[in-house]
Amino acid sequence: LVAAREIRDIREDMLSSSALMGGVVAEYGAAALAFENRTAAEQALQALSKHEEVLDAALYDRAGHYYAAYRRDPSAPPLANEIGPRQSAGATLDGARITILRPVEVGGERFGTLVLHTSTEPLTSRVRAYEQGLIWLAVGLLAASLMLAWVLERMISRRLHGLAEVAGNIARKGDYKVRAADAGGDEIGVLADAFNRMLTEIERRQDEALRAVRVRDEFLSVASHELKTPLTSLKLQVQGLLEMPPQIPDGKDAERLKSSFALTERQVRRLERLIGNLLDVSRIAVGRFQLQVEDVDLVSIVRDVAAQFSAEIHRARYTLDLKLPESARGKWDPLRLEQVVVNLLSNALKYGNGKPIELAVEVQNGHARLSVRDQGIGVEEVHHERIFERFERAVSLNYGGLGLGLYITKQIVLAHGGSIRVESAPGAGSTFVVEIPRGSS
Amino acid sequence: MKSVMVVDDDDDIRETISGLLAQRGFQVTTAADGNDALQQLRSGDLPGLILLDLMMPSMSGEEFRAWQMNDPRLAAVPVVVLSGAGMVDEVGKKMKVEAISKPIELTILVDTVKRYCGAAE
Repeated sequence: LVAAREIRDIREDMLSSSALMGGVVAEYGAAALAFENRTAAEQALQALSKHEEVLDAALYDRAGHYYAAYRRDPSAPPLANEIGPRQSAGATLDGARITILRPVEVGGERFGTLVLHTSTEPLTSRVRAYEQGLIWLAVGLLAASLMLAWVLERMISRRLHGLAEVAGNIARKGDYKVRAADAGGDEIGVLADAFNRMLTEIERRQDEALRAVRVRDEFLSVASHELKTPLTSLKLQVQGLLEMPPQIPDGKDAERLKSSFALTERQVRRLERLIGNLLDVSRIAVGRFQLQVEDVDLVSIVRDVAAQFSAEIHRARYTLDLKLPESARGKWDPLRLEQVVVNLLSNALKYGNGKPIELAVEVQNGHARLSVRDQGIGVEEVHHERIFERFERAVSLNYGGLGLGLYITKQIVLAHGGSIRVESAPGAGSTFVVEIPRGSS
Repeated sequence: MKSVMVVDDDDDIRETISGLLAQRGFQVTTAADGNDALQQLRSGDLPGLILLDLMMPSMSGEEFRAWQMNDPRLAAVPVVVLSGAGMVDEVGKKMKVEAISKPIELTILVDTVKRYCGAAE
């Protein structure tokens, strides 16, 4: 646009300067024509040689006949001999030259006509220069934009592609351990950081989910094993009973029959307890675990449980030391509290290595405290929290059990507004301490 | 007639199996885990069959079997695995012994013991 305006201005400049030149020469030529002095006319025209753009100039008399001329290039074709006598003034641009027509007058009387041709070469060379400039400008701009594209590609595209590649790899291989390597402090660096943080979180959740699935699978196999154990005894006992002769036994047979029924009944209880635990866990899971609170004495509950276990304690050659106050009354759910004592005492018998077990109750500041201490295999400190979780255990699966006892125990204690913890070290035995507020709802 | 040894950590299963086999005239000894069983085997007469549970604390059935095979005097005593865990056939193949899954049928229990120890007296 600038170039076009410039070119137009130059053209107008040229036209007007050519016209001006024509004017000046016409002034000089006027006297020469008036006095019919051909030499003076030629001299006046010769003055134009100073102006490079002038190609030729000619003076014609009032009849339009050729009178005198100046030609820059003598080999150029001769000028016209005649022109129309009353040609009016004007400037025209045709192709490579400008033609100026100018009447030669003195005091209003016309003595002839001046025809002046000037070259448009300065104009075309200026246009060419502009064209060249434009081409260079275009080349420069192209180079600059390529450079900019390269820099942007380096700064943005390549790094974004890097991120996309990491994301693609993760989607294909499911490997959440990879991280984007971009460490820039700019927006893309921030994006890469956020991306990496997201990956860390996904990895953590995936590990969690995989662990949950593993725990569940393990639990299913443990649960079926646990259920099969009493079922094995039960089935064999019942099949043994069916094989007995169909008469009322006496003496030794009657004893055998009685112990067989006792064993059978024990297996039914074991199955009942296992299923009860499973039901408790599902009740807790759906939030339908409710307490039936009444005024109860923890001490009498502990005495009842100790009595229930006396045969088993005796058979496994344990001694049970009870440290109980007169009473410890509170607003609690008696069946659930009994379950707590049963679970903790069962664990002490299971992991106590046959060494003495202590069961104590204390009352202090509106709380009752129950502690069960064994001197068995103990629990490493890293497991002290985990053993209260669902399906968890601190020992190998070979010890059996559903891995639910401590979980249910903790849920019961929490429902009473209390707390439970373990003090233990490997080989040093374990003490489970339960504290529950006496006025709990 | 040879005796049968019942190795199981569960008191009720030990009592049930040993009681039922004894009623049918078999000589039965019991052990509560692998350690207990190895001690008894090393210090006494060898049974005609060991009925072995797999999941036991302190020494599992598999560990017991490895110790048994390491002792030239005990290696020849046949073992039948009784397991409540799944895939009992696979475990039996791996341990190269006969394997029966719990809960077991009384007739199968008696027939198996008969096969290894001879008919009861």
